[in-house]
Amino acid sequence: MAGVRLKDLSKSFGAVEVLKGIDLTVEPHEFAVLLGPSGCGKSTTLRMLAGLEPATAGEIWIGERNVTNLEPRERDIAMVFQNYALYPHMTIAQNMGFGLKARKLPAAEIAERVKTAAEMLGITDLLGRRPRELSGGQQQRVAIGRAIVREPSLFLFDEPLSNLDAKLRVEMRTELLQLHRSLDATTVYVTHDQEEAMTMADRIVVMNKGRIEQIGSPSEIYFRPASLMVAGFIGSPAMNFVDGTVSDGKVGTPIGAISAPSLPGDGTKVTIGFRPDDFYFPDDLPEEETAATLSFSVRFVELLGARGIVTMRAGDTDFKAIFEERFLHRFEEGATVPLSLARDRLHLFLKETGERVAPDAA
Amino acid sequence: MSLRYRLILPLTLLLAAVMAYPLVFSAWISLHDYRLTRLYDVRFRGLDNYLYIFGDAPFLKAMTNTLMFVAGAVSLELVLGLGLALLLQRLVRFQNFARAVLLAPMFITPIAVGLMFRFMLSSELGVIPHYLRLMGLGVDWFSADLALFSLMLIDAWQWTPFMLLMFLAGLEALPRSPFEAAKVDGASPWMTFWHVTLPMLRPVILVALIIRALDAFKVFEYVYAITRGGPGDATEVILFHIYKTGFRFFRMGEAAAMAFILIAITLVLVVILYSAMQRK
Ligand SMILES: Nc1ncnc2c1ncn2[C@@H]1O[C@H](COP(=O)(O)OP(=O)(O)OP(=O)(O)O)[C@@H](O)[C@H]1O
Ligand SMILES: [Mg+2]
Repeated sequence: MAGVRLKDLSKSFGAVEVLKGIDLTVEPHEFAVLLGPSGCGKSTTLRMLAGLEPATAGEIWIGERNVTNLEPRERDIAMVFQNYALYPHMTIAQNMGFGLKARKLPAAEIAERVKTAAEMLGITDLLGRRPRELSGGQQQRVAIGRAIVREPSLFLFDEPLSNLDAKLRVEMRTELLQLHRSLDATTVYVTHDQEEAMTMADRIVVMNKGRIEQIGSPSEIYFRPASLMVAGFIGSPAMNFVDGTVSDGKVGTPIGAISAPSLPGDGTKVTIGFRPDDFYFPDDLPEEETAATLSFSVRFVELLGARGIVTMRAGDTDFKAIFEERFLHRFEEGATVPLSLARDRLHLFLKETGERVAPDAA
Repeated sequence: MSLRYRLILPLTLLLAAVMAYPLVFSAWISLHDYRLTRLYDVRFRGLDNYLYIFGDAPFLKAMTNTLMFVAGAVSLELVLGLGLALLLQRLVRFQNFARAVLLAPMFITPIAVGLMFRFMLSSELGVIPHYLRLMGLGVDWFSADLALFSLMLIDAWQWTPFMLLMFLAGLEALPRSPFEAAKVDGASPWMTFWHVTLPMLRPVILVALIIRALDAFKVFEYVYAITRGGPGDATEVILFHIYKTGFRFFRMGEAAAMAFILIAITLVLVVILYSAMQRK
């Protein structure tokens, strides 16, 4: 199996710079997920890996080979397209076998491999049909099947689950992961669904506006976001932010002073972030762990089941907090509630650059 | 009579006068021994005209010529049109210019095309035979052996652009993703053409073929302008044969019967065309 290296990869469409120097290493057998908002260049990166778009600058390595200027068919990859890209006029079996036929494998072996893959994906009884006679989820499996019969050294997936309904998506997620484990191939997987990324990835590559914001394991990305962008993008409901200025070992903010460990020098403008699940009732948090106790006025509560999202106001900013259902009675509409923030749960970013300052990146 | 019937009445009358009446009248003629020279002696012959035609050597020869012409011209146009469309689609620069130039022949009236080629291919005056002679090739384009083939070439010159237009539109309407999938699957350009492009273009090809075939069946102008069916009966196509029977020999009964047979053949093609388009 081959790893992937992108070295300072750039791409422009005419005057528009879409990728601005991507450096990325994916280890062999790794499941790497490219995650980012719409239009950030995920598909472009993947298509360049596949060889469907030429690079403007930089290099692409797959395994020990520099494939930057090679045709797709010389790269030993298989790709699952976002829109499946099945051949409409071929049967499912022909669709799956086409890549093998292109490699001039004997018909018997093609049939054998297609059969094995079809069994694995549970689509054996569909082999004689044509793509338009299949549901979205079935077409999805065929597209995956077409990729796995090839036994490539690298799998590329472009938002393969985005067209499926929520339930099927969760099922397919599990299936894809099992597939990845059993095939043990290197995988680069594109999505803009953070839940998908968190549950599937060995490593997440967060992209924004043609650059990589952060590379890390799902927990690193969640608990130590390297920038404001990552912090705001990952997590639902999104992280709360408040701007402030450092003075006397504290951060002065419109909603009150907040103490935090390892602060930059006085006068530095920073943004403090804390997740909706990081609010405490003042009694539950020991003094020395408390960063601040602030009062919030409750605007409304949305019950999700076992938990609820409380939207509250402090200063002129809205904050969202998550509490278990049994605590929700404390948040009556209009009530003012004091809540504490824990020192070790704060994220500190430079306001100007969005860079993380504290606690240090892992 | 209610208003709506009164409103469509003028059109109905007009259509009856210009379409239904001639059709019915010619059907009537086709069942009679109707000669313009003997209008005082028109006799009912039932289906004799039709039966006679099917045993009539000149008619069968004209039919064979026509079928050969249709098959030859249309397949030539298909291959050239598809080839040009694939090349043009890939052309990065001057694409619009190239399209405009290549489409031009379609907009010339066929009789003018016929006259033009009559001069260009004429063995005494023509530029093309002149240059071929300089290269040591003596080709008589309108000899008995070559005349029908030359007419096919002329038809291809004028109507390949139509195929080109259809195929370009067809190619542009194809989804891009199967082609990208083929690239990733490692298919060679040739394999992609045979197994992806061609099958996906099939409905367009079918429709273009049938439209052209219908039109080629009616070939008349080139024959009229150039060979008048000759040498001998080498280029006597069905429409020219009908024209001769009716307006040279004044045997209207037989001419009408032939015309109906032609209509029948055309209708079969039209039915195939419709079902082909529906399937798409
Ligand atoms: N062929 C093209 N020509 C010009 N611009 C393009 C082309 N393809 C993509 N772009 C631009 O490049 C940027 C990145 O596109 P890309 O498709 O990689 O985004 P993405 O991250 O995959 O987004 P999404 O999540 O919506 O799929 C977009 O701004 C897009 O408009
Ligand atoms: Mg995309």
